[in-house]
Amino acid sequence: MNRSDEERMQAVGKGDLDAFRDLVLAHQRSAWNVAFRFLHDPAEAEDVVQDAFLKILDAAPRYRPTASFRTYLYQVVSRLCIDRVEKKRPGYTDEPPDVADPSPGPGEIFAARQEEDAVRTAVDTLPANQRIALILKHYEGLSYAEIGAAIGVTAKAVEGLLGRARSVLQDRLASLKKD
Amino acid sequence: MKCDKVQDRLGAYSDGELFRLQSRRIGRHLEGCSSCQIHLAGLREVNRILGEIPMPPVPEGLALRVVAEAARRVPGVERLSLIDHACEWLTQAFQSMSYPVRLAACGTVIAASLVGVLMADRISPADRRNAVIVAARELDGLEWFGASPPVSVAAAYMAAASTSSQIEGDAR
Repeated sequence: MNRSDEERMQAVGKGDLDAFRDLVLAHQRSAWNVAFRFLHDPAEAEDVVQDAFLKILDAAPRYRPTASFRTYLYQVVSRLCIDRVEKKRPGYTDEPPDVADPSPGPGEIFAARQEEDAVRTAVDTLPANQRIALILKHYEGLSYAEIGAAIGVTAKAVEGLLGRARSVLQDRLASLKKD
Repeated sequence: MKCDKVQDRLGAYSDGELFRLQSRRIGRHLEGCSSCQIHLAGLREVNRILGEIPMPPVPEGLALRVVAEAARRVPGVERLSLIDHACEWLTQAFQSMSYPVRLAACGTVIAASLVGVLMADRISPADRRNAVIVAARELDGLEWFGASPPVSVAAAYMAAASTSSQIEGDAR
């Protein structure tokens, strides 16, 4: 029988490990996407994903479905990502990671790769709140209200965060094209 | 609308986050303003590049590792028993029924319970005791024993004892 995430959480709160497993399987991709795009380190991203689900497991007996489980998951993952970055210095984010290492190709592909690297580098240097808002918007498709619920700000504040973030990225792209 | 006000809201406009009236006003402004059109095009270019940045797949076995760690670090979390699963299933099945079906199910259970109670009540405790006593009086002792296998010492004994009892009965 299909259960909603909120029902699964209530089952987890009563000790149902199978329900916990179902939640992990259903939402690991979203948690991984946010964590990896924020941290750019597979090992750290996996740690964050694991910690997030374990925190959710610990809190399950007290869980009340005032918001969707998805929003709750994003809250936890976002908080863990931001905490992890604030403990470290941002130097490790200066270099874009080698997610894929394309062989030299035609000029258009090389230019596209440069643009991607430039944007990715610019994203990595954004303040944590702007970065997480951008990731939740572009890669998870959340609305401004949902992003606000995940990171603890208003929808209007999210608009401001995204506006400033995109302005930085546009400036970075513009300077790349001038070079 | 002035360009600076429009450009401040182009992100929300592009994301579909504006009210319909606001969106229409910005759309009308864009129709006649090349500067804001260029700004919007730049925004969409950034969105396009963001979407093309590759992403590695979820690491294989991630869910298994998470669940295994959960089972290890939270010893109180155990699998529910079969009975708990059955109760859970019954509860969810009941909750998924429509109200008329729920009423019918409850009515059936109540009716079946009443029938059972009434049938049990037709034989009072005193009658039940007497029934046992009357049944016992009709026995001459040998019927207390259960059936013996046909080819056995017990069956032979029973046959012999039965014959002896019959002879004594005839003698009386």
